[in-house]
Amino acid sequence: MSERNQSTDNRFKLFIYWLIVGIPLAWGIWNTLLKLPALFK
Amino acid sequence: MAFFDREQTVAAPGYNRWLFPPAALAVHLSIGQVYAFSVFKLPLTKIIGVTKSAPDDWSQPSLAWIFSLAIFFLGLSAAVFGRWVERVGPRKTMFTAALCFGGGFIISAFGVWWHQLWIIYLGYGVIGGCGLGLGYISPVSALVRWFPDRPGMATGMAIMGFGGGAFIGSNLSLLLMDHFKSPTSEGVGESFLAMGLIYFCFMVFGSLIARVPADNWKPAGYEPPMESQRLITTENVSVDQAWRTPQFWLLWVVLCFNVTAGIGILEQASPMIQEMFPGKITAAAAGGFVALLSLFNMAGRFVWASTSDYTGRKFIYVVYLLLGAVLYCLIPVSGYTGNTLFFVAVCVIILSMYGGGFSTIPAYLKDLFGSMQVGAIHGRLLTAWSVAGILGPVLVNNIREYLKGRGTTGVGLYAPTMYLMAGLLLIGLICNLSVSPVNARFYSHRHDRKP
Repeated sequence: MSERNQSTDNRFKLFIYWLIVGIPLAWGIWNTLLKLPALFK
Repeated sequence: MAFFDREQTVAAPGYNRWLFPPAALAVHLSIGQVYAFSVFKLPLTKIIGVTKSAPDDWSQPSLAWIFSLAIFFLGLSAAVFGRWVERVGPRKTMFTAALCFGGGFIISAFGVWWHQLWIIYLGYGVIGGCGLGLGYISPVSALVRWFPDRPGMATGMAIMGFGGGAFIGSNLSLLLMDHFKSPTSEGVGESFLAMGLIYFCFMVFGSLIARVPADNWKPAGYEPPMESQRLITTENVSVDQAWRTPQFWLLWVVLCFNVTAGIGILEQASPMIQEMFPGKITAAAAGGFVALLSLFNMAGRFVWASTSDYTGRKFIYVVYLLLGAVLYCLIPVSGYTGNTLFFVAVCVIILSMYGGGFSTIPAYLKDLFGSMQVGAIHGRLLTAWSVAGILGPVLVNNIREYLKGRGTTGVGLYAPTMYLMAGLLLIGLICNLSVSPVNARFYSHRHDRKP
């Protein structure tokens, strides 16, 4: 694989891998944040 | 099975090291579910009665053993299998952790359907607990080798995932139970089965993308120090030698007391804020407070550990332990003055440092013992967590019950515990200040240097 192709491949994998772990984490944090307003009422 | 061998996971030249943290996060975000296991406690007491507990239903105290067993086997498996983890590498370890953790859930589903509690003890507690321990230490060695320039940030990122896993776990559990609920069932068994399959797949994803750096690989532009700095060694200490050093046991006490103190707040967060501020804090507000603590626990794991790369590990633990002790003493003050906002601010800083204590310890171990077997050494140190997991709740609950029996109410119920926790942190501080470089007689010889 040429250096240019490898760089593109790396970027694509970076995006996909971080998306796969980021979505569930963001979903969990968002649902937790929704509970916070009760504390400041 | 050669695919899972360490040799097959050595990264090719040009591999981007930022591709490895998602593998570590996939595992830690999964096993962090253990922090949210309490979501199942109430539904598990109504398996037969469904709408309310029947006489043959399981009791809360008997169900509490599931979590305790899981944490106990987390520490035990991390300590016992640490050397195996170092030898076989992250891919095989993560896959084994996936089998144990996912399998533990699936076995537990049968325990629910057949109404046999011992099957859940065995499934989630013992087998799942081993999955927790293996999963927890699986990425540590690879992370410090991929990020020799910023080991605190790297391990902080993974261990932050363990804190974040509780958010996913609690919301996923509620979602699944709601989906599977029927007039004749709470849907716990089906939820266990679904979670076992989901977590297995997510952890296997981590296992498949895990790579280790080639020997002598280093990041572009990074020049490793040729000589040891005061507390950062260029030598390596094997796991069997490490736990004979005083430094290991000093850090064991530091971790144990830091965790004990943090659990002191986590365990009682909801009743504590309601009892210290009667009439001001509702049950819903207390739920919001617990959520806020969990967020700071997670964020602290990344922020504090990353900061330690610039300040040094010993200094950052001085901050955790000294500032922590002061803040614990301020908790009763906030209660006596009725300042809720001040109380919340103090608690979230304490919880961020509790998380920081967990996530900075692998980098501290790497500094003192080298990266050769840091995962295995970390595994043995996690026995401190097992002890703290029992010590913290026992101290808090017993002191509270004793004071309640004597007619104490409000802030007085918690003040002695907070002062005790501050005392424990000060003992930890003395231990941390006593940490010095490891004696050269513990260093591994060059021909021993295999993971």
